[in-house]
Amino acid sequence: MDNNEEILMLTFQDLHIGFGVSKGAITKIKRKELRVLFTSENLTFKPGEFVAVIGPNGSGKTTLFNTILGHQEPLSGAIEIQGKIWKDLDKMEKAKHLSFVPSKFNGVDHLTVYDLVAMGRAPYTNMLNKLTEEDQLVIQKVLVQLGLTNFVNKNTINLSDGERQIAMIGKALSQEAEIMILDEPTAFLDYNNRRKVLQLLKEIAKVNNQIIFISSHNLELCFEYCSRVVAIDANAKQLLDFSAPFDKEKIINKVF
Amino acid sequence: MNVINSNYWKKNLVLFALLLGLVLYDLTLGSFLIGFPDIFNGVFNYDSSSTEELTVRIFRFPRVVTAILSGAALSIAGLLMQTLFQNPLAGPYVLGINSGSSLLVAISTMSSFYIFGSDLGIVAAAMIGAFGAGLFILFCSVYVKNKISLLLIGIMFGSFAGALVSVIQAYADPNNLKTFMLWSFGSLQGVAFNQLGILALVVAIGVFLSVVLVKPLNLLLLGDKSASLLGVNVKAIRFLIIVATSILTGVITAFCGPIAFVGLVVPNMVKVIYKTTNHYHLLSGSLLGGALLIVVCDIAMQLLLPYFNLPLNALTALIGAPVVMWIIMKKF
Repeated sequence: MDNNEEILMLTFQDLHIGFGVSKGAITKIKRKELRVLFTSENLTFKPGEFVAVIGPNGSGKTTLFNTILGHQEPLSGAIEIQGKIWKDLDKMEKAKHLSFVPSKFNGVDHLTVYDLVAMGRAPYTNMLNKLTEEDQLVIQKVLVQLGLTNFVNKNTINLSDGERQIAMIGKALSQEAEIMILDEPTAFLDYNNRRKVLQLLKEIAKVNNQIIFISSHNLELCFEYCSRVVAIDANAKQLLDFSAPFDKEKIINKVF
Repeated sequence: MNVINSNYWKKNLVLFALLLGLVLYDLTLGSFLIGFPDIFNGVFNYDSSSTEELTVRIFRFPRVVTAILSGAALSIAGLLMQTLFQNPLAGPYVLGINSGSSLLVAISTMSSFYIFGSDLGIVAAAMIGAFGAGLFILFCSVYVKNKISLLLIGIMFGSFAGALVSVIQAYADPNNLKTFMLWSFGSLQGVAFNQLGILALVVAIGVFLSVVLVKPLNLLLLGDKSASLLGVNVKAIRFLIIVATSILTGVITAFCGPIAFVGLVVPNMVKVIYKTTNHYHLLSGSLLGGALLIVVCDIAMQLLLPYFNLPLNALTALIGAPVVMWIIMKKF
């Protein structure tokens, strides 16, 4: 985050996303049938972009995220971050570049909002998880940015769904990772909270100079808040790239 | 944050003071009362001609130290299992470690494989059984993806071993059967003075390993995927957690037999009392709380000696369960 000279870039290089990759030499699994969900040409994402991934159910949004997160491998091609091949980075390195927010968090008893946000500092703390001055400053900054200062000592089980989602975003933010991925962040939120969260994410992408990916079925809101939309055309099995301003009719007709 | 931290140390101090007081009290108890000078001499300035000092050295002191170590070890093992499986009903025996011990002890006492007949033999058999069960579960944990599957394997292994024990019991000689039953009741008297060092050392290794795992344990609370994305090598940590649990559970079961209830209940109570998810505090709380519970049970056992001779396993639940219910009702 303090590299002012280099601009972080996330690139998809000739990516084929799907599943059924056979495992290596450790287990002798029969070579499964490879099923390609979609392919993508070379795409580059820069900091400050708020990108929505849209597509019909089953088109491969979750698979794409799993591939970026490292839970799966791409069938071919590579994802590179700042020139380095993504899957070659070790776990700690990955945690400093990438953070993830699931669509629903039910809270953990006795885990306060402060504790939850502090968990995001894990890649930077020592073995006993001691929070240094710097760690505490980062956590404070995140709490202020998200308006969580009044909830700091509240048990996460006692929060409302909207507050919990924002607290989870806080945890992802305190990781100080350049890339943040949210899987359907608005799925369980009410109308007001949806707009609130997306507005927050849009500001965060600009202010913190991060690349934020969300997947969503809420097309109207995506078109309203995002700077870029990446759509999976299930018929052509292609990843389409659109930047603002969006021609909504055209995109919807092509994809759905 | 600092104010909250000192709250935990205060609670630790209270528990520690309570433990110390009760330990000293427990040392005086037995078939006859022994005063403090004799207790001190029995441990440090041993004179074998004095009956009191003899009793302290051979019976009292090992009994009380074993109480502390077994309570602490089993509670920590229980805490590890509850965090690994994210289930408050998990206990140290959920992986089937003590079923392995049980099986080997059953074989050595009740079957025709009478190799290990002596007291030390039972300890050895239990150790080998725990070790074997531990290895089996570790092997499975490397190849099984889902930890729920691992839990099921542990439970199935426990059931299978238990069934074999029943078969052995069905054909056993009544005297041998009684020996086995007495073992399964759990006892704090099974450790000799010179074996205390080994017991303490092994428990210390298990505790040390748990302390090293504090940070990953804290991160596992949000689930495997989230922990993995924060830099935790989930498979390796799972392996280490099982190693620590096996060491702690195995050594205690070997020397004391299967002591029920403690490992399941103490970590839950500690969470209610300390109100935190930070394993740094939960570990120290479980250590002190577990030791406290077993020492209290031992005190009860000694006080009831003239009237009843109750097995340890019965007492842990008899005393523990009402306490737990009181705490729960007070909280809700």
